[in-house]
Amino acid sequence: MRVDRPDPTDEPGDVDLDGNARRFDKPDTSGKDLEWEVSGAGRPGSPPALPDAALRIEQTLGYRARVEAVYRQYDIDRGHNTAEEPEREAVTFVGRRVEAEDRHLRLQTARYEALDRPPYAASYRATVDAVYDAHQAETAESTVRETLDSDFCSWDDVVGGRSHSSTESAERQAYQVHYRPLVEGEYEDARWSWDSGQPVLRQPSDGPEGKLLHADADPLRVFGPASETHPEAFQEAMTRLGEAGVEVDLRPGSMSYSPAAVGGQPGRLILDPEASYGAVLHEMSHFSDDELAGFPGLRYWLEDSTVTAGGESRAYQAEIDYANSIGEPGIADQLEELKAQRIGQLIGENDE
Amino acid sequence: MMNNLLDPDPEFQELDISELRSIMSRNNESVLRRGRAVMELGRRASSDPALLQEVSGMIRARENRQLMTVGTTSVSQLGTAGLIAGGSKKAIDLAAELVQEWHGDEQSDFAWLMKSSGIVWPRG
Repeated sequence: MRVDRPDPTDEPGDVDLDGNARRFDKPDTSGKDLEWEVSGAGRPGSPPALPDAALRIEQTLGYRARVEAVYRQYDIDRGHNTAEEPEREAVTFVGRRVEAEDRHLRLQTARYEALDRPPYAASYRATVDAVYDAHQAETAESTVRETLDSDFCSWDDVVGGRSHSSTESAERQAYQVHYRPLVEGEYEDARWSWDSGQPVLRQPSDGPEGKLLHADADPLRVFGPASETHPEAFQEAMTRLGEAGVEVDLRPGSMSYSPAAVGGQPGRLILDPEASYGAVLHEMSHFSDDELAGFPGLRYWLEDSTVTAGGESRAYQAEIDYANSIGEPGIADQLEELKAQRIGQLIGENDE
Repeated sequence: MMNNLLDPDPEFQELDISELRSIMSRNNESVLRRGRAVMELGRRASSDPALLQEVSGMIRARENRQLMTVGTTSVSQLGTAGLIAGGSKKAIDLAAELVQEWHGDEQSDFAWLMKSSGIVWPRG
């Protein structure tokens, strides 16, 4: 579980109950005025059939459009200037017109240069171009797939610890030289402290019960969102959730899997559109635990802190293993720290 | 019958109010036990006006709103669910007022929690 819960003091939350409190006109029925749903129906149905190449591009762009809508709504909800275009990547549909401006352009460019993989950059470009002409979509998609297969698969081999070629070693060195400084810049943006080696909470914590803010709790996000770094794995995860009937809600700043209040029903995933692959692994681990237990309901997870802490440990370990696999022991250490904090919250010192 | 969050919690039903308060007051207590304690207090407060006031303070407390039990369910949300589970009109009205003080995301999370327990929330 990881949640960026806004600080209650930041909002006009100190509502004057006399003046602003919500009132109900219904007569006193001793609680019987609550409506009970007949069933837990309404879960999303099965996901669409396996898309062809063009449809896959449509889905990706559709996803990005949904992300933009979520960010836009998020800004509106918080009273931010709704007229401003978001700083992040903007994908809007006007007919077939797409405007794309990557807010992490520096990182993306550096990534391509450092890894010396112009084919990937070319295929990325082809994907963008393809939306101008639907007839080019399938060809572009094939190009992307071919490049991704030969590009990131080989990179995965490197980071996965398997034997690698001298070319790949050179790529790794280039990564260290060119990409690392930019990543460190991103860390500064995310308010990580390199002095202490600890995540810096964006809002001061009052003590050991201080919240874990998402940006601090997802250190792997500096490498980009899972939907872009691991599009196939991300899509597989979404498909799996859809097939299980899990609600998936996009919400910037939050990432969490919540079991349903009633046993026998799947839960809900709050998904930060910018969540890293590691964060997705984390939450999918929680979903897997809930599924494996037969969706026993929230009460089950509240009753045994040992079981719940075990699930949290597995979820963090998935992230930690991934961080180590891509050669980021520093991030793995940060995740270990977050894991210890969270498990401490779950177990408590006075737990029986 | 499937396990429902709003059903009585047999283990915590056996604790008296002072024990439940004690759990809530310990800083290093398991967040899961704190959530169950405030939920049980909320349930009992449904028929105890004095306790109702005390529980509303616990639910309003910043740390309890920030403290997550499982998923997006905070300690405060469980206390509010306890008020609803208690069933009196006063308790349910208080729950509605408390929810109105929350951020939109918190309200949305609580609405989902209620929906998944079979209750239409917010009430129409």
